[in-house]
Amino acid sequence: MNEYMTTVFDKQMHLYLVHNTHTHLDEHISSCQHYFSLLRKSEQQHLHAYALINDLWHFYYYDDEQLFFEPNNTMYYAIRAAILHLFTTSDTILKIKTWVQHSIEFSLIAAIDLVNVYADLYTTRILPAIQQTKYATLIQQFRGIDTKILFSERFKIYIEHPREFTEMQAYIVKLLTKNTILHEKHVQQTFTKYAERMKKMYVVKEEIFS
Amino acid sequence: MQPKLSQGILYLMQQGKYEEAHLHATFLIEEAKRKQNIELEFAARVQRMRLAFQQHDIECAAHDLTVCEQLLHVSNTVEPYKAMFHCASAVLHTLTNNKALAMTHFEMAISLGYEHEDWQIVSIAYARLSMLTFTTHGFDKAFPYAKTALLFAKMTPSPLCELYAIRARIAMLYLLLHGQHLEQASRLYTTLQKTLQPTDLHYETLHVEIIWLHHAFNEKRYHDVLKVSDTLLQAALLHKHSDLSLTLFDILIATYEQLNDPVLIDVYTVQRESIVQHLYAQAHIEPVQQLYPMPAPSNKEFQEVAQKHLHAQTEGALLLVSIYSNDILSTEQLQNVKQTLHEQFEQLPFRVTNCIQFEQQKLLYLASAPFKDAAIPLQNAIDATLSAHDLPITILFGYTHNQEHQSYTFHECLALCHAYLYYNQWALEAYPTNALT
Repeated sequence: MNEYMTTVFDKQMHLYLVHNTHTHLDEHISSCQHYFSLLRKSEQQHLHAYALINDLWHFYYYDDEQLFFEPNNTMYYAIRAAILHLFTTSDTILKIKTWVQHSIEFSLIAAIDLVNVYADLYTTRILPAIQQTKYATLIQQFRGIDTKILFSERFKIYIEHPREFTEMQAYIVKLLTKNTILHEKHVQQTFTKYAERMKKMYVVKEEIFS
Repeated sequence: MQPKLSQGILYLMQQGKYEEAHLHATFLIEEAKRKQNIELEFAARVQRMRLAFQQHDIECAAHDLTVCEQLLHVSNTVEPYKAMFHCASAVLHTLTNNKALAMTHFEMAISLGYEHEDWQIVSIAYARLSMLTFTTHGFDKAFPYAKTALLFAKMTPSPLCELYAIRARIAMLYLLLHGQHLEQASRLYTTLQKTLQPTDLHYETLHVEIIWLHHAFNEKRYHDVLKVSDTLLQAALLHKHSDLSLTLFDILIATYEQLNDPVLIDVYTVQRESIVQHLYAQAHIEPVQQLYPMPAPSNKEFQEVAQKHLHAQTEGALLLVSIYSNDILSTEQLQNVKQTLHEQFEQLPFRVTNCIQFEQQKLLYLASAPFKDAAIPLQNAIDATLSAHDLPITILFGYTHNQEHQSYTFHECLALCHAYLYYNQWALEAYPTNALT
């Protein structure tokens, strides 16, 4: 059992709520354990990477009409919400969804691979910029921690809102958006390569397992 | 220039010209050594290592692995080859029965192989991992690994894709037989025999026969086992297929145990041991761990101890201490501060134990007192540490007591400790003389 994925479900870190379904993806984590090795080594102990896998898995697996955003979590996890928005509005990603939808395993592979895509973009385009800012330590500090805890009631007696943390989130969201526009061609090329990989895998999977 | 030269080897391999590829790689290695061209030597050795694995010449692969690791110290242009390293290392650890380490290396190989779209490595790592997983978690967990090996085998460019597909199917055969899915296994056995007959893939042919032989042993057909085992063993030893030889020795020893023949048991045990010793010497190559650090096992151990400590039925606390500095501290300075902290904590009126370093400047302890009793002594210990070192540092702590804070898992307590650290830092900036406690 992947303990990080289980934590994501147990802690309800999801951005999507699912309506009208008999399929619950958390019941399939154990039987899909072997796919998590495909994740970049640098992300394998990073709780938020698994939370993003979970969101993308939901996005890929379910019909759009079944998915609704969890409003509180969208605020707690603003960076992840921004990544999800950037990715799920891309035509290339929407095309991939048509191949992988309703396949538990293949939608998970597509989600893991897309997190790899993000991890590579983050390392090469975002991280160098963050390291120059005052937020570098803060980001490092919460890499493996569910940040929802900062919004807990117990801290409201001291301060209404974790201001520095939300400022950091806003800064990264801006940085993400700016970099996506600035490096549009590179991002598109990366998506295209990802789509080719998924297409090839889809064809092979159909050939050998159907 | 260099990638082209070493790609030549890859091209020959793809054409099935293994001997030519081996000669070409050896020639390149000699040339590179003569010209002291480290990168070329490295690239050629990695390709020869890949070739050695292709032909199951573990000894040659182990030799190249050792040399490459030494070369890694002087060259950092080796990223694409890391997957190969981990796969090679994992195979060696499997052969010397170090399963946990082998599994970690295979998982590393899968992640890195996927990153570089090296489907052959991903496929072979999944196939081998499936057989290891079977021994630890049984058929249901292991079979999906073998299926995934087949998926990635088919992603490999032709003609190698058929070879890797055969290897994935051999892993499936192993699992089906050992998992008692005999009908499916029998069908797959026949298909594999037909596929292998027109080829010269002697390793794969031998592997299939040995798996089938193991099945005969499981069915207690000991005389059938002995009829063919000698021929198979000679073939495995002749081609230096160490892994297959070891499996055959295991089957033979177990068979003679059943037939109660102590003399032959001793003979085969001695022969088996000499192969194991040889492989053992090859497999334990320390630089792998130094160059690509694995998740520290001590962290996992700590987590397990901490989880028990924080369990709902017991009283326990987690203490996270963080050292902040605007200037960069030397390793020695940081070490001295940590040492003083340890000494101070030892004198506390409650127990603070099991320290591990967490990230660069954080220490994590297990404690055994509620926050109301721990807060002031802890702050005093920190103040004493600060006055013992004239450094521009701040030390803050986050403290979570399981019952007091109603957090009963390690991850919950750790998250809460981090949140306390965050708000303590905020309080220190907002109210410098009266930090939040």
